[in-house]
Amino acid sequence: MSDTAILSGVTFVYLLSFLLYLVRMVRGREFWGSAASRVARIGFLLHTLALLLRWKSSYDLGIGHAPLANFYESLIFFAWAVLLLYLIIEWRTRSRSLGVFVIPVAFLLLAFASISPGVNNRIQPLVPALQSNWLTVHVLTCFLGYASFAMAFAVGIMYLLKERARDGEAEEGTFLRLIPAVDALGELLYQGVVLGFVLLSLGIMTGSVWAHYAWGSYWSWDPKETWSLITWIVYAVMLHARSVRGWRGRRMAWMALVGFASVLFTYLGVNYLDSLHSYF
Amino acid sequence: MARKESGIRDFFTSLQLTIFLLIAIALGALLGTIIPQQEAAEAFSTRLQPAVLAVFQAFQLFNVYHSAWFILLLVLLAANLIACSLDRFPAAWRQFCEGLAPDGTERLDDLPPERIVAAERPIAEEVSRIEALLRKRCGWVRRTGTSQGFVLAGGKGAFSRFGVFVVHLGVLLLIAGGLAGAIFGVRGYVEIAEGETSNTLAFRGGKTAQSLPFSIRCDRFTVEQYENGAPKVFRSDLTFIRDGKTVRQGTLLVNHPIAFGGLRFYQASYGLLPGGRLILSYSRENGKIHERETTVGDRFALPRGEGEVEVLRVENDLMRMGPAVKLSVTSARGNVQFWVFQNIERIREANPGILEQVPLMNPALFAPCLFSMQKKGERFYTVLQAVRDPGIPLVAGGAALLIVGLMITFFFSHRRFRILLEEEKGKSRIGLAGSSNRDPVGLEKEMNRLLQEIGKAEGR
Repeated sequence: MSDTAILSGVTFVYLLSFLLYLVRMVRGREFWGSAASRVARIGFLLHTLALLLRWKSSYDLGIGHAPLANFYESLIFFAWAVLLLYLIIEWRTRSRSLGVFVIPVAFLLLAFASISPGVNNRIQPLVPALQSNWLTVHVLTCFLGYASFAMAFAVGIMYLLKERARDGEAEEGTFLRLIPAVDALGELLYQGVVLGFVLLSLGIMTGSVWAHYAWGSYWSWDPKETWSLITWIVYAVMLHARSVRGWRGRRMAWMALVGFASVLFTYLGVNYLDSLHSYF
Repeated sequence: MARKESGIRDFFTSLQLTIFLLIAIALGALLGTIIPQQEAAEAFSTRLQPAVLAVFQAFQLFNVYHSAWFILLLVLLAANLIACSLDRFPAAWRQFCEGLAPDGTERLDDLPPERIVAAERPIAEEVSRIEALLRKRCGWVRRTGTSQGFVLAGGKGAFSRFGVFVVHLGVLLLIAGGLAGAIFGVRGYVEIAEGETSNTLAFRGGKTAQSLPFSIRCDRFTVEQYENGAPKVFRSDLTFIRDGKTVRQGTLLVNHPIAFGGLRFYQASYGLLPGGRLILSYSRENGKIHERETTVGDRFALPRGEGEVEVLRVENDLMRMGPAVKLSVTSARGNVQFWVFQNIERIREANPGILEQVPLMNPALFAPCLFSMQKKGERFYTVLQAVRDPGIPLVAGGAALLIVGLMITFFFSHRRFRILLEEEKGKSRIGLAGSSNRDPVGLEKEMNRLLQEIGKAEGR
């Protein structure tokens, strides 16, 4: 079975997992939660298997490289990183409420990769500029960072929903009752942003080192580079506002939303501008 | 006067300024990704109205990242960073040096009850054990006697107070390195035809040039392709010559620059020199093969009056599939036009069925004649990018400091503990207080573990 076929299957596994998490949030019974969690873990295992298979297939084709070399591969790795972080958080916090917000992100990424006609899912050989060990570490750090920011984004949405209920602007039904308390969410959001910020910094740095060897310039103000800097600044402002001005709660949640919009533009929007990063 | 000074000081040490500058830099950078920059701006600027164009030029919007205002923002950010860091460093230093000094007024009863454990043995017996526990965690403990018993103070991760300064120093070095590179750096291009030698370093736009104190010969340039036609290798075999003597030979590949004579050379581009010969062949099935040297605009008649051929276009690399010519054949059956690719066999193997789907690529479209083409005697030229950037050590150091600083700031925290022991009717009461500069959740966890350890031995 080919890796792309498995990945199309995994897309539906994540959809199922999302629906189960949703049922749990509505019905409030942990039976659905543990089923959702189990399905998510099975999906993650298959997803990992598909990535390894794709890696192996590239060697069978004689153009061996880690599956991190084009837009399709970045999408499926992004989704994988989101699942990885989510499962770690679920295990550490013993709370399944984040699932209903995060699993759809992974589902949408995979669905986009599988369905969009503009996304070439073939294993392609590396053109000269991509033949570098920095490729793997650059893509790895960037997308783990993006996944962290995606997590903070999901927590930010949960925060805003929960806060509305707390302030009496919305009625607290089962769904909102199952979302953890705002203090815990605020802390989780902060940790997601911190991890993402460190990984993004590493991603920009490894990209710079690579650009230094490949293009003869560690920084060329290419739109992707520039937007990664803009994203970095958004999160830098957010972290400063928190540590120096004591911003908490709602403002941080909104900043997590703004930051993730910037991440998405860095990742997807920039492709509509003229860029040296045309591979992704 | 003093008042004015403190005004300036307040201005430069304020977080509002930092945030304003960061947002201004982000917006400026954003502008540069929307407005075409430098070379790309030329075509764009002709479409603008003169008044708008004047505004764009006045604000250097076609070269945002090197404009005076953008550099000014960066310099102001650097000044702001220095001012803030100097302003806050003394406080951080005090925090680093101080433990949580017991001041004698702290009482066990002030602590929340869940932070207090009772022990069976008198405090004289407990205090050394607990001191050892705390020392294992913190590395140092200060014991002070009070009227009721003892206070033990310990702390760890004090260095994390400096993480933020390390980050800021890193950012300063990055800005300094970037400016140094922009001011003192050299970036140019050397274009060399295969078999020839050059010492001309041309600068951007090709308007100015300078001679290098050595010359470079391109012995060979090679392009290799994958089966699907995507490029696999761009390689220049170079010889560096100084005073007529070969000093160094090397192979230049993308991602593998060569450093020579204070410059770094990168494989930047390549091309085909005009002057190669284009040979067009045509034949009927199993018939005699005719060959003809041709060029754009060439017209000739096919044998037996089957038709008239015109060469419409000649491309060195059409759609990354190699050399191709576009032919127009006029005959009694009408006019057909199609491309003849040199690498048609390889293209067919990589894309089965393509000739049926895209008749325009079928060299046998004018049946029963089959055309083929070949380029002979052509030469490549290679383009090397040559760079000297004295800012690189600063930038590399800055990036390393930035990462290390972020790790220190975010993954460590300065946690301070104070354990109070009080005697009560021959038994002990032990309380734990703690504080941290960040990560309250982590502190809570560590205090719970510590409290457990304190209570454990007590339960023997």
